[in-house]
Amino acid sequence: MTSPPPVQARMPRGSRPVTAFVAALLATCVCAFAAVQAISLGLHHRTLGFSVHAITRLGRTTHWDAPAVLTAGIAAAVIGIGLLAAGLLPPRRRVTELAAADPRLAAGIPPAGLRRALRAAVTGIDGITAARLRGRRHLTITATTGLHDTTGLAEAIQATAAQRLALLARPPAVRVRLRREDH
Amino acid sequence: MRRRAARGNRLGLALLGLALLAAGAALTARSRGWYGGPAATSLYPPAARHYLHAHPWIWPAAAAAAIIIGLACLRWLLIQPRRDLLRHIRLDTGQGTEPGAGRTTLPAAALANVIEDDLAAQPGIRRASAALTGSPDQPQLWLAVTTDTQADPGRLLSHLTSDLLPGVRTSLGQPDLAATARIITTRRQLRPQPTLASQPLTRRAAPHHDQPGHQRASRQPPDPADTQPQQQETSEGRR
Repeated sequence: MTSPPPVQARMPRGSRPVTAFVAALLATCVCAFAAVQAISLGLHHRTLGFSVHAITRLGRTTHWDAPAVLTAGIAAAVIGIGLLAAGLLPPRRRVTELAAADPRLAAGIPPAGLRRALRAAVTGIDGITAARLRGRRHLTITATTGLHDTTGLAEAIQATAAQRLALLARPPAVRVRLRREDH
Repeated sequence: MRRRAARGNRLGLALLGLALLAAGAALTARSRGWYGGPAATSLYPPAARHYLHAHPWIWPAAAAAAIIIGLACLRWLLIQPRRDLLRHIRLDTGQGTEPGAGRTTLPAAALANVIEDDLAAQPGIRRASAALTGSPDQPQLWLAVTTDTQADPGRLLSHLTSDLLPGVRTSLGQPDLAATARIITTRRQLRPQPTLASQPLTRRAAPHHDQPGHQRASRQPPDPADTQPQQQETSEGRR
């Protein structure tokens, strides 16, 4: 009995480190502040420059239907929806996945780096002085040339791009446009 | 590499979001007068004050709850920079039940250094870092490789799949070792590597038209077969 072939490994998704760091920091600060205030309220002491009387006075003079209360409620609910979505929805993969021959190897390259490498490969072709890339799924390469005879140049660009993009797990469709250099 | 932090982040963000959503919805509903009496009453009415005076345990209980939740948040904060790195890798698979059976371990940093040196010797590679995570019995390899702009990621991928990973797997006795490689292309200029320069590197070596003696790529598309012998030669040379 033969074992099934291993499934191609994929690059891990992000772990939302910035969102988590900010949320954890703010939550820790809020909890520390709440603990200090609760202790001070229980002991009827003045702490951290906040007067217990000022807080209770604010509670007595503010009504539930005050715009500030409504705004705070809506803001908390919106931030809550955002954090809930960040926790439940899978984060994006920040890299473009490469198709490795080894199923246990997951490889990826950041899209910006891939574009830099592709642009460098295109500008390395004889006669091409500059190249601009647009689009993701449908990639358009606009190459600038100073040559008068551009026979075969677009095909060379297409082939170079195809060779570099053949690495990708899902290579985009490539369209090549030639632009003559202004003299 | 940060599996524990990723799990903790998902849970922490979901719980915090749920708590904020519930509190915000309750506050909004109370402010609109949908429950809890008329909305024109104050937040801290005399009845609430009398209730708190009659139950003095509420403030210490609230302080204790805030401290417990705060400590959980602090722990969440402290796991953020932590990476689940392995210190040692177990090389033998013996259970240690037989008399005299031993256990062989290898420092993970030593293996990581060898891998980094191997990758750094490849053409077009500026920097490489390797790390091992997982369990000592079932490690996982993480690679971050910074290449020159003109380096061909395909050659690097080919080196990983045909040379480096099979060698590491054989050395560790882990035929199923999983690996993750992140290839970063630097924005900086090409590092001069006259002896190890790959085909795309040589093509880009002279970017100015007016310099004599420079080589430019022909209009013919590069043939992957052209680069293959050179790569094999490099690999053979290292062995």
